[in-house]
Amino acid sequence: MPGDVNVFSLGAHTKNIMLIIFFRSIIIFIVLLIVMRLMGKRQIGEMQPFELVITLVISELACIPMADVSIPIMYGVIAIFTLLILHHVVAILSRSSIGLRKVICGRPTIVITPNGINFKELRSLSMSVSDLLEAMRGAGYFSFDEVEYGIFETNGKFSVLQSDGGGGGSSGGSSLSGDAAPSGSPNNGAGGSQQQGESGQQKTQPPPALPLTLVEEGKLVKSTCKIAQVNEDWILRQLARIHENSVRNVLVATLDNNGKMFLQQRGKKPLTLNTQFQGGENW
Amino acid sequence: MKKFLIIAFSLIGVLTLGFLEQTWIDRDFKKLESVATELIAETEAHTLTESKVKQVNDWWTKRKQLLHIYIPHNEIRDIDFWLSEAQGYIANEHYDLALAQFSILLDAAKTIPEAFLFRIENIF
Repeated sequence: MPGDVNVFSLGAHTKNIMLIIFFRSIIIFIVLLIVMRLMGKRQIGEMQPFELVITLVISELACIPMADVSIPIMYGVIAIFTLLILHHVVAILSRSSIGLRKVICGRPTIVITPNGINFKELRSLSMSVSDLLEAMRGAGYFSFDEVEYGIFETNGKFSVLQSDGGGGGSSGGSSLSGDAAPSGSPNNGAGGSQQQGESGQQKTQPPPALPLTLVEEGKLVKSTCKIAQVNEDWILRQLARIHENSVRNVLVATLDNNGKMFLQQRGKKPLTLNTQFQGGENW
Repeated sequence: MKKFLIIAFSLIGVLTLGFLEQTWIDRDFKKLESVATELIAETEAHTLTESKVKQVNDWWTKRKQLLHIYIPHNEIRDIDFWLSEAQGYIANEHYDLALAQFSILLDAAKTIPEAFLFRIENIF
């Protein structure tokens, strides 16, 4: 009709779906940018659970009206702003009450104490010792005896309070030197020189070492035993030194390249054993 | 304070848009419903002219601009098709075929706004 002005038309001949998508994408991008700025400065990886949920949902909400021109762009915009409102409401609620904060964000979980690894808490996080070691490595710690306290924060980050020894053994645990490896064991071929090496290590800083998990919650980890070239007999001989006769009673046992073994038995404090292990160059 | 302001303004924005949506959809589809009823009556009486259908078509073309903000564009395009098709039938005096189109139009004018009402069944 002459005189009618189509306020939503970009021009009489503008009939281009790609241009429409282009402008819709710009609009959604600007809306998202505004909303993300209004939400705060946290980066991915430092998010609380509800923030992560919002971020995951928001990306999907933004994509659908961006690409599908049959959907009004307002559907995406309203949903994104609703998430902004929810974000702020949940943030305010979690700040206003400790109880609500626990429900919404969870609580920090202490998984390593001077009494060793807290397997109950570890299980509550659905994590294994390998996952814990991975988190520790991410935090810059490679051995359990370097850590006095290990805490999983509510945003999933792993925080560490370093032990006094800084790798020389947990303050809560004990240390046992020497090896009673009998003949026939995979690593008993150079007994005299090993003893000498160990006495030398008492005075000098041992070289950096990477621990492998040999026993996890009472079960032998065959793949790492293969890498370390140790067998169950060898592990049992080390356990015999602490009057333990079964792998099943060991919650965790790790062995590093220097032959230092970290052990935690059920219901006992962790301890480190210095073994005569000589296969450290295998990994 | 900043957070409360953001919440307040966002809520006001969403509620205002919701209110406008309800108002515009109600107004336009009620009008469309009455127009469709009128068209059906005139079609049954074989008195409907092509120019009348064209007038309705022009009116709808203007109204649908605002509705595009709120309603999936495919549903609006369907109404365009039914009206245009019916206009062609009326031009050729195929009143029975046009009647079918207007009946669909009437049904759509009743059911589309229902899908946008703030009701529990629409939430789920």
